[in-house]
Amino acid sequence: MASFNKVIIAGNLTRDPELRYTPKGTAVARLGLAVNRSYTTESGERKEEVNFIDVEAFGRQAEVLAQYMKKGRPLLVEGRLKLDTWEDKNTHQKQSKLKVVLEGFSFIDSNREGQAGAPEAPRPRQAPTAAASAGAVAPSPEPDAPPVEEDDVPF
Amino acid sequence: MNNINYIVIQGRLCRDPIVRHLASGSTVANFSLAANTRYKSRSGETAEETAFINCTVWGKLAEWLAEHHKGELLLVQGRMKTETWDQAGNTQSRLVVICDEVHFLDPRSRDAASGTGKNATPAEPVLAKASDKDNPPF
Repeated sequence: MASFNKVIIAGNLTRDPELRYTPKGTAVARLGLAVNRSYTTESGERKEEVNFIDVEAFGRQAEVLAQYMKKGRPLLVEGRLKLDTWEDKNTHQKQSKLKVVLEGFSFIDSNREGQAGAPEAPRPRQAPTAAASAGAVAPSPEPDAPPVEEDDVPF
Repeated sequence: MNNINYIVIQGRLCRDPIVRHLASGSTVANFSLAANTRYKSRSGETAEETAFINCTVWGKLAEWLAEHHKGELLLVQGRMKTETWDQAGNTQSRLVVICDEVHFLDPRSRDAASGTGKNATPAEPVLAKASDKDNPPF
């Protein structure tokens, strides 16, 4: 059974995106996001914690992100959690790590000090539909995502 | 600054939740969810991947978790947090979900909870039990 699995995070890039291509030619971009949270302790002290979250993007989205994103820039990401597992070469122990697989994104630093080469926030290929642009997140280009039937929406 | 950090995950409990009552008086529950994602591979086959996601929940909800068991279907909403610890001099980190809301979706979970005899009171409606907020009508 497929589970509901949805993540929405905004944060600043901890490093420049790393763009790679798989042997089959699919673009893969790895991004590191720093997501801040401030809270007040019981003693009334204001504190801030930073959560470092790895994000992986594929295809055209990966290329667009690699082109326009840089360390320090903020980004809004929509995606799902995925568990990566591998075996450590030295200890042969199983390792695993949770990361976010990007399904949609939005640039959120429009016009910061006139970025060279990016006169305005670029969009992924697909023009957002009226429904999609109501949300802040760019639509997911996944071709196999089932279309949402309006009749199915109960409200 | 507070960044957006929002997550909704549906999954089954990989094992019985571990509920601890801290000296400070608060209660914390740790549990792990198995969330399946279906996707189509290049060859057109439908494949499935499972993410095991560690979750933490505090307070009253944590106490309720004690009545739930491996295999039950849960829907949680919360935020992601990086936990770091030291292991033989190396800093390790992992992502966990800190839950704001936990919904018990499995009808069996109600039977299971009342069936254990742990709670003397009859089981309340599952959703109402899981969330302090009013149940949305959809």
